Amino acid sequence: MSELEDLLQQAVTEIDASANLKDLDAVRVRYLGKKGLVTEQLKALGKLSAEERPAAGQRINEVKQSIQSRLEDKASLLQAAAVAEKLVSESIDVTLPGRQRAVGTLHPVTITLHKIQTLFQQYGFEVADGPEIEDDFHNFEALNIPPHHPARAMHDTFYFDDGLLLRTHTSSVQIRTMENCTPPVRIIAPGRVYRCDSDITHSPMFHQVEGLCVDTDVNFAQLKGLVIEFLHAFFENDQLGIRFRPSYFPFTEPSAEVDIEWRDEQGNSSWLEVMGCGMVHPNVFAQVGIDATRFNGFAFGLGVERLAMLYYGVRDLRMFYENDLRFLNQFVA
Amino acid sequence: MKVSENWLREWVDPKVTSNELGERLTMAGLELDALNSAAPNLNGVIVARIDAIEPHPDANKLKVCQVNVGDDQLRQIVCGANNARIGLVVALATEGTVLPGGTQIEAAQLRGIDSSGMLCSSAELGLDEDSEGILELDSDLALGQSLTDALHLNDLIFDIDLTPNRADCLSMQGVAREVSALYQVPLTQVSNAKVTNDCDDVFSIEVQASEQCPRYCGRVIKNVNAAATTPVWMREKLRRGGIRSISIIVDICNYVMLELGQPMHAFDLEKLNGNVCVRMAQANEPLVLLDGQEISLSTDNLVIADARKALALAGVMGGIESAVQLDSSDIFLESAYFDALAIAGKARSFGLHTESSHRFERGVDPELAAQAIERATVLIKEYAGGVVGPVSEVVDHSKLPQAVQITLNLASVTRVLGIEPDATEIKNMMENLGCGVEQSSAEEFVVTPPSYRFDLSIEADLVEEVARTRGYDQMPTAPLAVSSKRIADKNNSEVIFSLQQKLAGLGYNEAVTFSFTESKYCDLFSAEGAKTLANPISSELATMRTSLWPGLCLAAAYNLKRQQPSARLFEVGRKYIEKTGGIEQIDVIAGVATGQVYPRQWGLSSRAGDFYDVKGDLDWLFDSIGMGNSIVYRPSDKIQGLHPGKAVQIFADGTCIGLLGGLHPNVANQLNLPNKDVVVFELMLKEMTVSQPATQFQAWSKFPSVPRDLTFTVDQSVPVQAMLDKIYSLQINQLQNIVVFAVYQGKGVPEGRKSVSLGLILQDFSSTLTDKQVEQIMTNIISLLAESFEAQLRNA
Repeated sequence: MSELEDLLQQAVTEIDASANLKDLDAVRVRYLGKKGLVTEQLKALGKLSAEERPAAGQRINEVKQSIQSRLEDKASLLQAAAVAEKLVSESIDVTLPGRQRAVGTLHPVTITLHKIQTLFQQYGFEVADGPEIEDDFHNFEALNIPPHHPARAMHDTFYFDDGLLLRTHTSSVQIRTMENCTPPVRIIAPGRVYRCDSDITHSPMFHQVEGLCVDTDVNFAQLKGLVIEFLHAFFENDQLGIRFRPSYFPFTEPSAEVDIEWRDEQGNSSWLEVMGCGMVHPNVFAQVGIDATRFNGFAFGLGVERLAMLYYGVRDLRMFYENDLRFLNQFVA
Repeated sequence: MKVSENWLREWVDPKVTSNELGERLTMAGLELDALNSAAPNLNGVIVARIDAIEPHPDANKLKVCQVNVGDDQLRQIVCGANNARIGLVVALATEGTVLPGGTQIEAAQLRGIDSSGMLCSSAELGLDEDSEGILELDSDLALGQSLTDALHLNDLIFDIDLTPNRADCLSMQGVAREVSALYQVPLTQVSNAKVTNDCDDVFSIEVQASEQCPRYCGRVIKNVNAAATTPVWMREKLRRGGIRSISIIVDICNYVMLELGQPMHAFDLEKLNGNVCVRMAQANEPLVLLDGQEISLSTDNLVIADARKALALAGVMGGIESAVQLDSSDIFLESAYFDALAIAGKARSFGLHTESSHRFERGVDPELAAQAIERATVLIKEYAGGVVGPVSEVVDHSKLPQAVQITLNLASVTRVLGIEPDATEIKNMMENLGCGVEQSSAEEFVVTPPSYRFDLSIEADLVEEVARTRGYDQMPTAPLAVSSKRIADKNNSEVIFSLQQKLAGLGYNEAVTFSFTESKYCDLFSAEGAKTLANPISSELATMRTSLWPGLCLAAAYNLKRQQPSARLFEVGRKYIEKTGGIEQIDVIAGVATGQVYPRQWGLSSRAGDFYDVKGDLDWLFDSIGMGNSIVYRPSDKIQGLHPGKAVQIFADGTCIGLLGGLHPNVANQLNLPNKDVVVFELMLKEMTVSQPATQFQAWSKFPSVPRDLTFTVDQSVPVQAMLDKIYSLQINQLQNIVVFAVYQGKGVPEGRKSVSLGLILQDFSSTLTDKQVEQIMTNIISLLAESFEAQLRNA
């Protein structure tokens, strides 16, 4: 039997010495293969007496299983080592930057407009549109601003030789909308408007959003409620101070200007004008054939750049139209 | 409107601080723009009198003055002013004074003569922008007192931004009335004294244009001293009201305008011939205005004329010829009511804007003329003397604005404002505002606004007064009822926004450029139908754009000039093209790309972007909105401004929806993009927002697909698209896709030819394709291309 024990000892030594799976497999074949040394021992069992055979057979099987199990252990060790080696060789510098592509941006006016639009759509307002090259009727006359009305001096208007003009406000869309539909009306009209004026706080082109709500039972209290709700939502601050003060627009009566309370970097608070609004003037309803005894309405208008400047802390209005990438790239939506 | 607080408080004096008053005015619709001091700090400047003058021994222009400051010691001051004279009361800046301009006054020697201070002009005191000579003070001022005390300079100026409807507040009286109503404190009416006539002299007034001038009051005052000095208190009030002192008669007219709101004018009686006639001008009638401007009148200009010619542009400005001069002796004083419509726009048409036109355009109280002429006469008599004739008034009552009676129903107040007001409160409010009020029923009043409130003509105006008087902040808020009506997005604003987001995702920055540009830039592309502004800000912003490309290219150039390695910009906006039948205002989405296609990095080699980069971006955009299959690019060498060999028109289902191409090198030069590959595109927004039919699911083949690659050489002029179209024309059902995976010219390919590699994917829906079937398809394709394009199959 000592031959068998020697065999086991020898196999264990060879298994331990195997440096790779190929060597290990050779060891397996040498001992456990069809003609392996342990297999040969099994074949030799027939030569033993019937009394010796069970014990000897059992011992050979034990040795076989022992070698088998050691082979398996060693194999999984070698496999793990091979994987580890592969992982090491495949490792990369994960701190290198990824492959870059240019990041585009939306213009802050677009982002602001969209925010305004989304809010008012939640309040049931549809987006409406109108021409930028307008006629006098829609921009002025129908809005209760007859020729030579002093309010025209507040609008430095761009004219064309044929009498057409660049709309000075999106209020013209009020008229175009009411001409073409019957109340109830809830619209907002975003778009470009033009004034013949240019300095640090005035641009010859800027953006406005006009709003209009006409129904059988609309009042100033609702206008106030809506404007406050909108400004709180826009500036994401339900504590934002808001005040309404009397003003004058020929197409609304009563008219109000809306100020918000604003703190500068030094913490000084002041009132900043952000919107105009009011109840639709009966003369405007008359121009578009809406019965002012049945319906009333309110309208409001706001300057998009004004809101964007406050929201983003932009100081110089002109930056919105210079299209400097150092400016544009800051507004990742 | 500049309102001196001291002056205002002479009229009405609510017990509130200046800031509170300003705040209250703002909240009443008289917006306070600024609250400024009436004068800078003038510590050290005192009232003094020149008691003696000697010429400076060494300087012709200088005088050595001995100045009395009320003590027993005269001070010696060297002064260069022409108007320095013995007995003149002046402002002396004593040693140590720092004047508003920063000048520090020290004892000094001027050309060898000691001088212990400086006699100041009003400009040096910061009271005026410029001035001639030293400030002349009233002779009765106590010497030695501070100038600030003497002139009551501790005053604040409320700069009120008045809306056009509140012309009634363009005077001290008007603002005082408003303050009185707001605080319900009494109004102190200034002198209502009437002048008794000293003589019977009148000058005939004829009003031909009574529609435009329903009321005209005039009066002759003889033997005035038109050279008299305007008292300092009046000059100060004028200054604080923003009006320069001219001469006593003009100053008094302006003073009464500031005080009561009535613009007035004084003529030199000697220059008037025959009568004063208020009429419309004749066509091209000449007139030289006070400011020296020669104008040519038109028939819609109202003028004050005499028997011979036009003398003044009514309600706007007087003429120079008939103006009161310092040596005038007899004057004719005018106080009239001109209809706002007759004056509106007239000043502007001559490039003018005067205190008078500003008021008349907005509306002057038609009942004010007589009161104003009395007030002015009192002041003229007091400060310039004169013998006063009776007031002549020509009035056509039927043409005057008629008092309106407005029915104010409490239900209307509730309907508009959402409040339930008390009848007594409403009545009191209206009365406080100067309205006549009669209660016609428990719920209804008949309200007659005062003559100066032009802005109150309908019920809505009174409703606003209710809200204004109570305070807008006291008005309630209420929720807006929810509408169950679905919100349609007729203008596709959401679709457009998603296109904007997609382009940003592709690495483009959105730009906003002006809708007007310089005509030379429009001309680079199609300038047909370009519309030009009549009154542009500058020639650079004069022509409405017919393409977004000039603005975008200039923006790209702007950025490249500022060290940006690339510029990829897009814009959503309108272009404007005039056609017969009107102006088309077309919404487009346009873009420009130039420079490096990737940011510089280790993993990708840097390269300049080209046509195919942008074409790929558009392909992606079209695919992303389900339009990819309907898009066809057609080469075009006729697109103005684009490179003839690098431009396409983009068609979708047969309609041209846009353009894409490289800029023509000459055009790139003009747009400050020299030597750059610049690619531009423009897509019609309308076509990009057509809603695509909902996706219908399609099953895919269960059988394996067979890839086959074919490489041909063809003449280099053969468009690859033509080869693809030819293959598609075979209508091979099994052909699923073709990919162009290589295009090559150079070694191994004959001169003048190019190698094109196509990857085909074949797949059948009903069976696995056999080799024989595949080979048959390949043979068909190869022979067709050989036949059509002399395409030769390259041995792989």
